[in-house]
Amino acid sequence: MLTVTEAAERVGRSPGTVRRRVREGRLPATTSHGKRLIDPGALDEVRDEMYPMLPLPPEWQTLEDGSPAPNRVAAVALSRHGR
Amino acid sequence: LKLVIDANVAIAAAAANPVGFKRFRRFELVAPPLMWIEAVPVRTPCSGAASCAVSRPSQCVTAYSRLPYDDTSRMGLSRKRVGCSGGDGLGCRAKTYDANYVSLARLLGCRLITLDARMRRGTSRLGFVVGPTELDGR
Repeated sequence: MLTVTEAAERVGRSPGTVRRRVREGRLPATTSHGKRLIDPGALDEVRDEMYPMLPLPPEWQTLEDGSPAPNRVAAVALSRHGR
Repeated sequence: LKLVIDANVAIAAAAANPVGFKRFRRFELVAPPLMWIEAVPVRTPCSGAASCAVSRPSQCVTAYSRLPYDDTSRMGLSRKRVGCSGGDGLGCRAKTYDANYVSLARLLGCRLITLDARMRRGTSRLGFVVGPTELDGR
């Protein structure tokens, strides 16, 4: 489990952003000894939502193998943070 | 007609190779040297964010080697761009990395294309930052 600070580092956003998501119920968290703890798996599931992407042109929406195009904004933003 | 291309757009277009860049055929694509630095880590097959960006890295390495854009360091614009970014301010909510792209577009007097919705929103009053689907008919 991750603390809010650790979770924020993992997704490259501020602790405040993570806390707000928890408060709004958009990121599941448990409380232990007064500290919010976040499941890394749950964090990864919502990570892309933290980096909203503009609409893709039709020809970019799927990769050559037919899988949906991933969130490029998240990928670049996280690479800036060395993740 | 120049068009500054953000790293996330370059990655998306390269992954859609060979049709990815057809959308930009009437433009001369330009990017700061930073774009290459940003694009390279994303293309590698490691864990975390990188794996979500590229599922077939060998194809993307090939695609990157053919990226049809000009590196502005070869155009002698780097020093001017830094001056533009740091001197008179951008007048928008662009972060450090984004500011490289925004200031370059402003310096060249052309549009900047990005997939980043937050960047698009933060720079909306500048009027030259657009998404890929907004290029049509403009």
